[in-house]
Amino acid sequence: MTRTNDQVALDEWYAVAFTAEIPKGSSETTTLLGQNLTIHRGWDGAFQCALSDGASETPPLLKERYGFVWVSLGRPSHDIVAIAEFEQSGRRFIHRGRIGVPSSGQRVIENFFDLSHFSFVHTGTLGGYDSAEVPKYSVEYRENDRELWAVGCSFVQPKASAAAGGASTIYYDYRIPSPFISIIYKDSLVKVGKKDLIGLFVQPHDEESCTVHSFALVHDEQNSPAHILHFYHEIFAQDRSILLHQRPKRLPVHPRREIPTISDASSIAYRRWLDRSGLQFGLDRTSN
Amino acid sequence: MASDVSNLQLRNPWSWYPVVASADLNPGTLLPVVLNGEKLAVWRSSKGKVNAWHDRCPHRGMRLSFGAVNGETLICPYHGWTFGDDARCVRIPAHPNVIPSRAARARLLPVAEVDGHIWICSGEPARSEPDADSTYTPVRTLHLQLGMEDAIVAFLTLPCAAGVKIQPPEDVDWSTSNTGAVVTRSETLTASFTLPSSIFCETTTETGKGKYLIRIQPTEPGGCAVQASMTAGSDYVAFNRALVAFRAEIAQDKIKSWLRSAFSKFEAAVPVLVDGLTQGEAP
Amino acid sequence: MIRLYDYILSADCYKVRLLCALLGVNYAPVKVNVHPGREHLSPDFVRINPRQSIPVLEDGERRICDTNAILIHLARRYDQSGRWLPKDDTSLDHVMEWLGFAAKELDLLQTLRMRSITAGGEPSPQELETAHAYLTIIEDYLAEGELTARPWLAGQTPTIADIAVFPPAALAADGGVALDRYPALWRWLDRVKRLDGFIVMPGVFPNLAAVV
Repeated sequence: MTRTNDQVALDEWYAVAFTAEIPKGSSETTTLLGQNLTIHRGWDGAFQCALSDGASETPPLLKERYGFVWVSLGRPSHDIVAIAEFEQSGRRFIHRGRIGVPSSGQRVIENFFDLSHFSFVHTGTLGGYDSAEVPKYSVEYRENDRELWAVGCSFVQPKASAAAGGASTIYYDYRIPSPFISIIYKDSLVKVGKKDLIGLFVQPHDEESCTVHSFALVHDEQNSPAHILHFYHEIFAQDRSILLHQRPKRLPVHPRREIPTISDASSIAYRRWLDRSGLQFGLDRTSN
Repeated sequence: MASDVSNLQLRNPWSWYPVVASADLNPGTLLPVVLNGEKLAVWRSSKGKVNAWHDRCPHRGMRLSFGAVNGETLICPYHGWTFGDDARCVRIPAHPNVIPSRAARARLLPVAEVDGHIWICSGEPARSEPDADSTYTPVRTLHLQLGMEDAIVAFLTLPCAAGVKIQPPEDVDWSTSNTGAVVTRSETLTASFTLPSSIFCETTTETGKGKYLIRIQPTEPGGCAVQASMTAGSDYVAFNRALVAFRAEIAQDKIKSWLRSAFSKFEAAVPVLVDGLTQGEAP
Repeated sequence: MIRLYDYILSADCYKVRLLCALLGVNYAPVKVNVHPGREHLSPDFVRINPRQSIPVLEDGERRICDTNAILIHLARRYDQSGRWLPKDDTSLDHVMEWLGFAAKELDLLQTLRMRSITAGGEPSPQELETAHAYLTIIEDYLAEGELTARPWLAGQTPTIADIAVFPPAALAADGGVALDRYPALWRWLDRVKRLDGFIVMPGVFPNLAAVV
């Protein structure tokens, strides 16, 4: 496995582990952007990251945030994504578990904020065959164009969450603060007027495989963790079984490679945003 | 030995290859097929029309073969994009009142249904119809972990007969007929190879006489699919078992090394043969 | 009410869920936090099943801790037709052979799949070769069945043999094992999906034509 030399990819923060899954005095090996790493936790609880090979490379940076271990192999110009809801009370934190996906991280992110597959991939939960139409939504850029948002998305959902009783129209905002991170802000069915969060922190191993670290912050005191997790895992695994069959595995960014439709406004924006960013890793930049 | 997909196939990209028996593709069903390194979705509509498309939805690259046939249309399992049998998208469920753009189409390939098989051409067909033979009935599609040319040599030199253990023949006589077919003769097998990949075989073994037709479908590098047929009324079950045993036998090291030496005789007999041209024409 | 210790992504649990759906049997799921919670390894769960695995079925006084045993129990008690677990010797032999094959050989496909989902990575060349050898056994059997008008694994009608083999085979791609070389298997998967009452699980694509 060779470490990428795509500096745009290297100069980002990536979640690589869930802190509670590495006991004190133990370590975990993993791969980020082609670079093999060892994450070690000392007896004092503190984490360290060492490169498994490549002593000549820039020393990696490490931070703990939101219950995850974050690493950068480069020198990011910004901090780890700010998720204010972690500071707020009232929601329950659910660690959704890591999922391995044999596809590029960008394919995973693009699937995450796509609505028009709900009726076919998540039939009976996030969508239904008889209400597959995707209403119009808006695409915005925030934080000086550093973050892409799809706002005012909505969809008729037979079972929008583990806590759902019946069908309802759910409103979503999607936030994409970096190529490999996406967060959903979704109507809570338990605390009307409030939002639940579901987030993906993608750790790319190489250009065609990744591990997805994932969490939820939900207003749900009633259901057991297993109940909530089963709901999320059903949805994630349905997406995974699509992702592993998409070709090419890397996300094409040339506009004529794959044919979008109206409801793909966010994916068109995402691909354009990626194209302009100079990122190479995980992308297929050919025109045919 | 065999290169990219196969040297033979590279010289004959406009050939028809059988990929599945007609009886094995019911109306309303689809099948993933690999031909010449390309993944395809082969499907039959409710009214019986056969279609062969690249196994890739033009929307977001999902494999169409995991979708479903609905009447005369094919539905992609990702976003439900519905394609008519001309490969054009006719419905996008996310926007039921919008007429899909003309660019929203799958890539289709020439397909023919002749003599009990469905045939596909990866390019522009040199012949308007496959070179089929109505006296044979399809028995089995069997995938081998063997390059196309290696498989051809195996069937040209080793008999596939029920209950008969494979013994590489002492003597194989190689010749070329005046129609350009490569003919082999040994004690137990007489076989004749014609382009692009057909081998007509007649066996004489201790269990009796046998007659079968093998066509090799080039799939991907190092692999191929055997489309095996027999004349009507033959013992199909016994022959299928013979094929299964044949597959195991040719995987043995001693048979493999024997086939390697036979291969050079095959190469000498098939210098430049191109399907669709008259013998003597430049390719 | 039957209780089923269940995990939505478990192929073995799906065998039970599927048979229940086909037989019209209701059950109450007890959801186990397999991932990331590893609840099936906890001391509490060990008291329920020392084998630390799911599915576990509780039906009245009985607690059954083995997938095949659960399938047999459900067929014996709830199948009015008597066809899901045939009584004649030859058919029963075949059913038991396939149940054993599903539990032993096809466990490799389950392992590859769960590993791929929870930890990523590809199967090793050796694992791939073995997985394909097992799928070839099913393919050869079904191909002969197409020549002898025997469309199911243990005879003329579907049995619990088909229910035991279907999930690991149908979900093979989730673990990196492609099914493109097995057309007879593919056709059998389609036949299973068309059974009255069939339900999917993530990774099993529905027969859309039936529902759209």
